[in-house]
Amino acid sequence: MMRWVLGLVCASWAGLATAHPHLFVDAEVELVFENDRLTAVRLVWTYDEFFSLLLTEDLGIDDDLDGTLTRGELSTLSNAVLDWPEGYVGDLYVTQAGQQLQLGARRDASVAFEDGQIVESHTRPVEAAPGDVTVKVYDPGYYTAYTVVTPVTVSGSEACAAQVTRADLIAATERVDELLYAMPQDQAEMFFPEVGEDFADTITVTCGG
Amino acid sequence: MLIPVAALLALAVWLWGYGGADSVARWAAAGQRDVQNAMAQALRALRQGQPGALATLWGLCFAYGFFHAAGPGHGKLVIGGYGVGRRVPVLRLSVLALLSSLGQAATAVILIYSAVLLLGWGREQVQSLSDGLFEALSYGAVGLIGLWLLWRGARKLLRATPADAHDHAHDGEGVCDSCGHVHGPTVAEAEAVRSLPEALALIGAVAIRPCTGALFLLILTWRLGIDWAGIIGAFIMGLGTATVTVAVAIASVLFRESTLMQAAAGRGTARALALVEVLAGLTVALLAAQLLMRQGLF
Repeated sequence: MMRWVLGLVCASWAGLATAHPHLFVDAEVELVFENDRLTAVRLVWTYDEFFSLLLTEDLGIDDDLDGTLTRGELSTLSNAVLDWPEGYVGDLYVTQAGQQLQLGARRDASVAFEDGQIVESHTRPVEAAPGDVTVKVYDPGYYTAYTVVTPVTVSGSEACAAQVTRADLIAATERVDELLYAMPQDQAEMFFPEVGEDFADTITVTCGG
Repeated sequence: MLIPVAALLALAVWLWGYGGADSVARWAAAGQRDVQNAMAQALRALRQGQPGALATLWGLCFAYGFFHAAGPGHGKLVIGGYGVGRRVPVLRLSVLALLSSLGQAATAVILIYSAVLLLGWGREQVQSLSDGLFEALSYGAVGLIGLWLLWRGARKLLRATPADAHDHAHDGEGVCDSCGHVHGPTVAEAEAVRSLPEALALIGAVAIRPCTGALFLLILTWRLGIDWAGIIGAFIMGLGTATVTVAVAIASVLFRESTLMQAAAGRGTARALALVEVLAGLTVALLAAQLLMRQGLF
């Protein structure tokens, strides 16, 4: 995720832009299991074409707009995209038995440019107990709208299977309206309302037996 | 008291309802995403000189504006609050809604090109300026409109309460604005006198805060060297937005007129009207205050 996008996450909440995400991302999720424990989450994020074009034009690359980059241009793009700012936690949330699990630093991070779309990939290690987990990919500020691509891959486990439940957009929009139009009690909540989770798809992993 | 309470309830339903609990939300979210992708393709096609690309881009701009406005939005808030709180002919309010949306596009164009041409700024700075200062100004303006409506309503209410229904002719002020539509011409004249500054305040409050989508488009087309496609596109986006705000304007006037008709059947019409105005003003002022607070400026 680019630094300036994160800047916008904070800045744009003040406006009504939150109700309208400006960056749409398809999220491919692979859940890596060892001995029925979740040990890593592999993410492949494909940015929408408009936002990809905005970023490449801003960086001054892909001038011919043919949707392909030279090696040098791709390196420029990678540096911009992979330069996560401080405080950005990676929009990945894994919970087990109601507890949010700590995620390790990302590894195997890479950026590709396919048909004019930016594709950002990386893996986050996690140490889960054996059994069921819940995984969500979302931007708390909802500047970015992630859609989980189905099917979600489960590797390294025969016993575990993933199911995706789509976000309840109507309920989520109602919540946005409440936040926008009701009088909030808590000052902190006004500055960091986490509507992104309401718009998030939920990946539920159940391990049978 | 039933009517004002019902009016407040209906206002609440109307506020929460728009961009809210219906399939419009899902449709708008999916629509904006599709339109956004298609806009990128149109921009590439335009840059590569494909025939028809410009018309496609502008058509998509219209759709983008429409979908963008279909969610909760602050332009709708002002127009709707005004239409509910004041007795405004539906055509005039619709024109105001249209001009507000076009004014918003104009602000986006002026903002981007003054920053780009005069200051040599990049996108990041332009964006943060828009989100900070301009929104604060805009919400402040909306808040003032709300307070102004509130004050007008309260004044009428205070005057209407002690004075018996038709005592007003002797109160020395000459113009009676507390009797609703009973003295049609006088009210109409008063409205005509007030309409221009009111109209300008209303348009200004919406227009001062440009939409992020328009800013993105303008920056992209500037980078791609197709400035005019973007500038005209921004205004077409404004037209798309206006289709929604005009609909809200019409709905708010219809809502108010139906409330009025019910109230006219009983006594205390003026008081009911004043209360509606107070409630609408209070709502608008509170919403604006909240938006300001959210920004940490208040």
